[in-house]
Amino acid sequence: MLADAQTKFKNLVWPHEENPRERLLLDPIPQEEMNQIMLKPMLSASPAYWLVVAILAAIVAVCIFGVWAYQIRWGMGIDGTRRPVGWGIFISTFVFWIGISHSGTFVSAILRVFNAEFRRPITRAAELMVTISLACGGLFPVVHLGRMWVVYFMVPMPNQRQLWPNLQSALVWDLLAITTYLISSTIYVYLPMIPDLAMARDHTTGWRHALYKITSLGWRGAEYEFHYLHKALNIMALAIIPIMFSVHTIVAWDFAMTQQIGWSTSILGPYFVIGAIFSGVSAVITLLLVVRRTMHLEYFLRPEHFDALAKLVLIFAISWVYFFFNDFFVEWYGGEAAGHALLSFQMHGGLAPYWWAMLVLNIVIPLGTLWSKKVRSSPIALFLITIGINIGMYLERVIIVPGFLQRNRMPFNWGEYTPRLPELSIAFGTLAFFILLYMLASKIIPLIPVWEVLEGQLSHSRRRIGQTVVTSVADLE
Amino acid sequence: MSETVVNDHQWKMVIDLDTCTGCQACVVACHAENNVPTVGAEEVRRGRSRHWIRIERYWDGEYPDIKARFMPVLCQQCGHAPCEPVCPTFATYHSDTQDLNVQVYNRCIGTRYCANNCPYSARVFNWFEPYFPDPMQEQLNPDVTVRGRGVMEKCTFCIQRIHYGEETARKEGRSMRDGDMVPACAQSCPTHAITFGDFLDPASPIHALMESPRAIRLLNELGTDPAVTYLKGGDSNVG
Amino acid sequence: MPTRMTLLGLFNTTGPGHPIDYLGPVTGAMDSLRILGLREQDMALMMGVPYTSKMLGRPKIHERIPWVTLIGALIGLGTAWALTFATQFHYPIRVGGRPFWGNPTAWIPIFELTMLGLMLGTLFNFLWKCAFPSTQPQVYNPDINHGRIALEAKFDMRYEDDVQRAMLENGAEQVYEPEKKPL
Repeated sequence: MLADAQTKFKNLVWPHEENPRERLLLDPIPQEEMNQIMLKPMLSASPAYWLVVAILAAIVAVCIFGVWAYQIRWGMGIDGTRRPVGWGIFISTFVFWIGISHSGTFVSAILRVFNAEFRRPITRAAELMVTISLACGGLFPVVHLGRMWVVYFMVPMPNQRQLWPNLQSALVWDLLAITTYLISSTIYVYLPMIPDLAMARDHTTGWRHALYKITSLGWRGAEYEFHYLHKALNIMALAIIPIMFSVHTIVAWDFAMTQQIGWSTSILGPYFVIGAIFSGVSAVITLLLVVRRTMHLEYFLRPEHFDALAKLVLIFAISWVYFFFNDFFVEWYGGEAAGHALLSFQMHGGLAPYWWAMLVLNIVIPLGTLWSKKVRSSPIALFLITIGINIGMYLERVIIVPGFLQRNRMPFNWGEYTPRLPELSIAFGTLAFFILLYMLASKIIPLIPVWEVLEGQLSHSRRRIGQTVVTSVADLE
Repeated sequence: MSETVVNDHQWKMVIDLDTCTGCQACVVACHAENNVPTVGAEEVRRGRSRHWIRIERYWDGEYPDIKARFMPVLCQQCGHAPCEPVCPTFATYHSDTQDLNVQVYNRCIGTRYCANNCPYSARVFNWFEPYFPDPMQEQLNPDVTVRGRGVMEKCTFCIQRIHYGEETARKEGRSMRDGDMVPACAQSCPTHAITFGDFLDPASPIHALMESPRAIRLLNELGTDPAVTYLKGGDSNVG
Repeated sequence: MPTRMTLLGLFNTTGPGHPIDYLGPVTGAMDSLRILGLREQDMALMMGVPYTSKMLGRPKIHERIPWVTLIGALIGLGTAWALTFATQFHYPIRVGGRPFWGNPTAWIPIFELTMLGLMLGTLFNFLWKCAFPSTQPQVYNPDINHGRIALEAKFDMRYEDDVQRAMLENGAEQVYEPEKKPL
């Protein structure tokens, strides 16, 4: 029965409007069948899976922790950072991962607040990205420290030195904001997971049963439990949105609060937030396409979801262009001599290849393609476009962090920065780390919130109005 | 905790660009006085030279009518230093007694945020463990710490000499006078281009120099309130 | 001699033309039980699909202010206040010619820590209201994952037959006296 269902949904025609029944929320199947579609890829793992896990684990061990140990032993000099480029690839990659972490919150919290129904099956997978990418990004502020062994000096706690951290420093805000975001997003991914963990508890034995028994906290699906769960989620969805905005704004303030040319601009906060959501939502598409394929979740992840997400990407591509142009144009028109030196360095100096590639990947390709329904319906096209967007956004961070630092107000102090192997290795290693953590988590955590999908199916129906049949949504509250 | 600051000293430096010959004697003196290691050609090419004071050389004019201009740049000991508020651990802060921007090596965790925010790029990072080839370690200054890897450092206005001068004055039962101490760069300058003094000492020669019509302050428009004044007149530069 | 007893009825929510929303039997059974004199608090439902109280014809759960959330936010606010203002008394250090306190930078830690307290408070509020984590043996039936809805009724022993009949007549698949088991 399960195999039948799986083959049926695998062969879905992508442009779906011919048969509205093929939209997920109008196509209910028995609850237990849904549970099984979710549980089957969780409970079994192919040898190929373990092979990939082993390779990724080896990459993480060598490329991150091995190289990091080497760097701790010899000093930061093994990287390319220099005077005046104090921050290099590490901080770019940090900003990149913090940006990716905006995916889940945006998809889940904002769409939950606005009752966007298409969010239902994709929230969990996106929220999980938040926690994992924060773990990857959170490595970098530690990795890039000259003396990482005293990183606790930054933590506000009573100590024998009788010294508190400087709460006027943007780096301390960063620490507070990222800690808040990590804890909040972990709670926010965990709470709606409880009913699914209870479902998994009832279907498993052995160590998994023990694990799910503890983590589902004794959930019985009682009426009042669902009521308080909804209530907590409503508060959290609203509260986590300003947290999300504050996190990337503060990351932007790490740069904007300085007097460095190119950095010291008030647009940088919103520019970074939009860029983060842009790259985050793109990463959600990339990841869901992979998850859908490898975990056979064709029932839950329908063309309609990718279509809706691709429209979001289109909107954020437009917003990003707007902020980019604001940033660029003001500097270009007015600006001081140092700012103009920086602009010419970007447009036809050493940064030019990255700068133009960023414009193509972030503006030309998404705006040129995503308006088309045909493109939005093609998994392979979406996969390539979203990967391209994330490469473009990574280039943006490379341009802004070590790129801008190469120019300043005293031409004698200009310097060229070339990343060196150790920092590239650690940056690449976190990509493997992200995939590894996600692969491991996907075997333990139900990636689809089955109960939310069921809830959505409850509220959808089709009714005839005149000569046509339309979809209507009931208000559940 | 009063908001009005009472300084014991206000150390100021005046550098006369019209007499500077760019001879680098101050750079060498600074390396010797402050235990600043040399890093070798390879690292200098990577931009990791360790000078706390460096001679910036700018070309003025087009060949053949071209002149070299020299400008010694060191930490400007800003009154409103951009490097200070960004440090998460108070490793760099403003000393109320000396009116200096000081660096506490033991608090530094090496974020390099201060270096990014220094408009003069005056801050120097210990990329590696410092290395003094034989017999250089024989001449290390016992009054100055040798900084370990991963720590930010910068010109201190030879604060060890300031303390030495204060102690000598206290021993002799008087208050510190201008001329009790001279930083290594000023001491070694063959053309006396560098003058150092206490702004609170009315007899100090720096008052006259700072009020000179030739006086400028570097990137003053950023509002950093630098303690170093440069003197630059007409076309009187050497070279 | 206990005079009260519990019966658990299992109802199928999958009916003809209704993949998951066939709630007629269970709401009917609850109506019959109400006629028998059972109060709302004598009936509890367990389900795998979050049917709302309205769908089930049950009174809305009384809404209260989430006190723990508020307390959490206040603790966060107090911590941030102490960090930004009190620590400056402890060891005043002057940076960048700025005032020791009273500048806008204080708002950032205050915002972050208040939100952190609020999020943790919401979590604890939820755990407290639901009495989680519970390790006690409980009445439960895992069939709620299979499209069933479980109605747990507590009543006086004298009505056992009536209650059983009321449930069965309304379409209960199974009615039995549940045992409290570890989940």
